[in-house]
Amino acid sequence: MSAFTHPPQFAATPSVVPDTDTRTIPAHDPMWNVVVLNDDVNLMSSVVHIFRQVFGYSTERARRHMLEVHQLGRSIVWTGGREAAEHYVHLLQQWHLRVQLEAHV
Amino acid sequence: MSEDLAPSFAGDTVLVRLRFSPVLRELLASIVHRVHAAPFTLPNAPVVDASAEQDADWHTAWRDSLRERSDLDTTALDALVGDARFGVANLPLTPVAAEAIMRACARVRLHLRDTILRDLRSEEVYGTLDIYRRTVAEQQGYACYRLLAMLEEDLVYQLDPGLLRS
Repeated sequence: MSAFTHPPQFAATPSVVPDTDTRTIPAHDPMWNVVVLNDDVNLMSSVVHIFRQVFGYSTERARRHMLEVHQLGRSIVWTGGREAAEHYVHLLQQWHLRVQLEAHV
Repeated sequence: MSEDLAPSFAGDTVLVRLRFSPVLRELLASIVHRVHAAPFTLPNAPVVDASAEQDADWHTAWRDSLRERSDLDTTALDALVGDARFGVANLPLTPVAAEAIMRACARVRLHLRDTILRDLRSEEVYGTLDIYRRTVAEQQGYACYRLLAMLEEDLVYQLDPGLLRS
């Protein structure tokens, strides 16, 4: 089974780094945006439902993102770590939404 | 978690309750079957940025997983439209099955939009379409496209009744 069908695992940041390890550990991992793009096929009601299902958003928040997609062509629906972002992209693609993953700047 | 933070199902059963001609059901069944047999294509080409450390195996696993999900969903829709009761009687679905049907409806509608209905403008698809100026294939594809949209919308409002209230 591929990793895509399981929720991402968040490992706790080790509090103690072995003093023999001289590698540079970044203070913060890069952040990634999950971006949903507009299309003229997926229904507005379905998109709101999908955002609620995938992200657990309130109806109001899900609708806000849906309208942003519809009116502006795209909406950043989630921002966070790479592994979780990939997981969300995969879930949204299962619903046939047009999704991109892009570096958060 | 508050009541509004996740879809709350009205019950354990979602009903397929559309009514339409058996002729339309047969047409829909043939189209769904054709899409089911067609090669799977991702709706959007750029899965993720190419600069990442993703190898071919990773992409293959990603696509295979999506294909597997889509095949299961379309199998469910194929079975639904192949049921002689579809369109003439209420058919119960579990919420999980209803979501599979919704995803499959989207897949088939995307396919129709990219093939038979590719020459239609968005305003025509969702507004006024002069159906008599269209080819028979477009008329049939459009009828199925709209029917699947109605089915999908009816299911989503049963799965997530809060959408109707907001």
